[in-house]
Order: sequence, then C-alpha cells, then structure tokens
Amino acid sequence: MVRERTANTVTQTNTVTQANTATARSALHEPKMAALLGISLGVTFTVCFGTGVLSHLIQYPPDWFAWPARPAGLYRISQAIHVITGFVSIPILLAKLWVVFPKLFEWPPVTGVLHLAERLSLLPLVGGGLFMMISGTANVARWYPWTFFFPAAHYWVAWVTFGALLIHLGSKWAIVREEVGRSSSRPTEAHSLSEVALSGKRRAFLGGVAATSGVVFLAVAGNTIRPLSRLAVLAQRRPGTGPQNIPINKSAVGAGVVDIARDPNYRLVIDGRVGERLELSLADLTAMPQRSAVLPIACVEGWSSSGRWTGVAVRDLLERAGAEPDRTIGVESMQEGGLYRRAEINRHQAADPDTLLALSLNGEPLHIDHGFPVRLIGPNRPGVQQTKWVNRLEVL
Amino acid sequence: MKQPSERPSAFALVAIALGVTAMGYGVWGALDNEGRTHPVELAGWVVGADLAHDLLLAPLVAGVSWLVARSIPAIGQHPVRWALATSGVLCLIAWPFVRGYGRNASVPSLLDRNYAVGLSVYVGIVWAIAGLWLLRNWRAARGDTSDQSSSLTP
Repeated sequence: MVRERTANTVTQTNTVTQANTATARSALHEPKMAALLGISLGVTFTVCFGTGVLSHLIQYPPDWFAWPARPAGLYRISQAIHVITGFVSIPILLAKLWVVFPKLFEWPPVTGVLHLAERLSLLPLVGGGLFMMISGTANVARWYPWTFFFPAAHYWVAWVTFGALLIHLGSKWAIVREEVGRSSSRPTEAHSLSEVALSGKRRAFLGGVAATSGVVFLAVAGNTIRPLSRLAVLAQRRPGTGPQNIPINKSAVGAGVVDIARDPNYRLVIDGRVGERLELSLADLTAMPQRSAVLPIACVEGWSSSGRWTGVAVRDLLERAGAEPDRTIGVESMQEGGLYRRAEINRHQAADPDTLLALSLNGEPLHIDHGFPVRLIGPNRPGVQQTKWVNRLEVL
Repeated sequence: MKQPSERPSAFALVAIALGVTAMGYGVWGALDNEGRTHPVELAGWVVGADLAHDLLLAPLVAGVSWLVARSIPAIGQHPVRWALATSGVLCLIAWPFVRGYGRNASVPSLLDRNYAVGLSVYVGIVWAIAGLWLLRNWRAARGDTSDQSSSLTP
C-alpha cells in the first residue's frame, strides 16, 4: 500500500519532468504537503475555535458557566491568542488551498457516496474558513461591509467550519496517517532519491509559508504584545494611545451620552433584590472607601491596555444595599440603546474586591470617553462588558 | 485521485459524526438567530468567499506562477515566488486598514497609523530579503557545486 502510493507519486513526477513548471507543480501539489499544511491548519483552527467559543461563553453565559475573576489577565491572553492565531492562519490556509487546487478539477468528479459527502463538505470548509479570516480581519479593521451582526455571524459560521474540518479530517485520516507516517525512517526505499528531492522542495515551501506567517505575526501582534508595538504596522491601535493613554472603542459622542453624563444631578441607583434601594450621588461615591487596582481593558478585537483604576468596590456597594452574596448583578449604562448598554457581573466577579465602579484612571478623574462619571472595571472581563457611564446596578 | 480503499477507521467515523453534529449546530444557530445572522446574506458570503478564491484568486496566482516560471531564472524562482506570495498576503490583510473604512471621527486613537507607509515598508523588507536570498543562490551557483543550496530548483 505504502509502496504503491510512493510509486504513484514518483510516476507522476517522472511523466512531467520535461517542463520545469510542471515539475515544480507536482512537487507542491502532492498529498504529503497537503497533509502537513492540513495538520497545521487543524491546530490553528482548533486554537481559534476553542478561544472563540470561550469568548462567546463569557459574553453569553449559559446557566452552567461562570467565568472566574482570576487570573485577572486571562481573557486578555486568550483573546490575543484568538486574534493573532487567526491572522497567522491566513498564509497557511491560502497555501493549503493552493496545494490542493488541482484536486478541484479531478476526474471523475464523484466516485461514490462517501466521496460526494467529502467533496460537499469542502464548500463549508473552504468558504467558511475564508469567511472566518475575512470577517475577522474586517472586524479588527472595524469595517462592516454587510448587514449581519459580526459576532453572531462569526460564531455560527465557526461551528459550521469546524464541523466541516472534522468531517474533512475524518474522511482524509487514512491519507494523513499514510503520508505523515511515511517518514524518512525508511531511506532505503526504491525511490528514495526522488523522495529526498521532494522533501527538500517540501521543506522549502513549508519554510516559506512559515516565514510568511511570521511576517504577518510581526505586522499584527503588537496590538497586544507591547515590545512588538512599533513593528505592528497593521495593528488597529497603539497601546497607550487614546484618552488618558488607554484606547477606547466608543466615545461619549458616539454613545450619545455627553449631556446626561455631565448632569450634576447624576445618581447611581442600586435596586433589585436588595435590602434597601440606594440612590448615590457622585459625592456619596467619592466619600466611600476607595480602592485601586491595575487592570486591563481587553478588547475582543485583540488589543489590550492596562491602567490604574480607582473607585468603589462593587461588593462594598452591594453590602451597603443589603444584597445577599452570590447574586448576579446587572449593570446598566446611560446609553439609550446598543447591545452593550447592559452587562452582567457573575457571582465570582461580584465577590472579587477588584471589581470596581471606577471614578478615576491613573490618578485623574475619568475622561468622559472612559465612562465619566462612573464605569465598571473588573478583572478578567472582555472590554465590551466593562460598562461605561454606569447609572444602575440591579441585583438579580 | 485515489480513494483510501480500506474501511474508515473508528477515529475517522467519530470525527465525521462529531463534524456533522457541529455543522448541524452551526446551521441551526445561524437560522435560529436570523435577526442577527441574516442567514441568506451570510450564506452568500460563505459561498462567495469560496467562489472568489476558486474563480479569481487561485487562477490569478496560477497565472502569475506561470509567468514567473517562464521569465525568472532558476536561482530566482524561490525568492521571487516567496516575495510575491508574502506581499500579496500582506496587501490582502492591509486592504481595509489602508482604505480606513473603519475610521471614526469621535475615536481618533482607532486606526491611527499610516497603514500605507507601514505596508510599503514591510513589502520593501520582504523584497530585500528575497534579494539577499537570490544573491546567496547566485553565489552558491557560481561556487563549488558541492556547496549548492538545497533550495535551488534543478
């Protein structure tokens, strides 16, 4: 079996040696190359899928899932891995598609039911994989040339794509095992010379793909990895830019809250399942014990940036309102609408002393774009859930 | 091409069963959340991405590859192919950044780099690396044949 395949490959190679181009093509478009690139993609897709599903669970938690408050920077890391891995997958996916492109024209197009199923699963795999990368890149560039809601589309297509990947893996498993198992441990095979030439070309091609991914990594990773920030020519942000040296995604103008946020009659309402409903002014909050914590804003788009936030611990406020411990808390913003007008704090995060309603950042009162007068900041939360311009805590 | 002749292994069957389940869940989710996913438009993007690759990008790459094979000497094949591919990938990724579609007047810190300049510098570096690679191949080809780089195309 193994020998048959090797012989096949070599015969193929021999029939086309006349033309330089054809030789180059046959060296690239062979099963082992496809298998090795496929394994690489399997790894990167799995990393992206795992971190992506995690991010989805954190933002839309089912009953059985409560994301912990510690370690404080975990989400920052998992989401940076998600975005960076997605970017570096782009050259690998394009290389893989280039290697298998001739198979698109294979004849006969269908040899049986299994073959048909395998070929049909390529449409969601290829289309889905490309869509994940196009939509992810566009989202980081904050470009939305469609009418659907990006997170929902990216999430559900991820399931389709990952499912198609598993089907593809299952239907190609025999070939992968055969090709990758057929290692240099048998150098005495009849066609070892051709094999050596082939493996040299394979190495050169795979090395080239890895180098391209490396270039892409350098161009984007500085969004999160500070020392690479100057190299990150395709980063959405420079960490450390923005009001009070921390980036923002939504301004007070964009959220339509400028006047209401500056209203001197501001009150924070704490209600729901409380012993006593509270209405606190900014002066009341300032008079309470203050706590400081260094915490990152970790955006789902992959960038993150830390600051020193000072304010009142949410758990102190809950205690003052006579709420039972272990409750989930709804946090509301002054924003009129928008999907991120309201967020929830789960019981782990509500109990954490560093989950704050912050009044100041790096020693200065909050900039209005950072949520003046009061914003939520807590450890290990996605940036979109660090609600700004907070005016209500509802104990659920 | 050849199909694996033996019966699919247990691993393969489990992977396929899980894959069908995950795919079904994805399709169900996209339909169930149609208010957010706009399934018809979304399907158009997925199929469109596939067609754009198969009918535009891949034939374009094949054409360029054919031209390179005809017009570039053997010592330049690998460096030029790599530089073309890497520049192409960088340009594709950089496109929405360079165009600045996502800029927002009220958030000046967003997309605040000069992406056209950054992209040009990177593409320049990629071609400089290709130039060094070519030089190395050229010197190797001139020198002792036993010293030939394995990256040469025979």
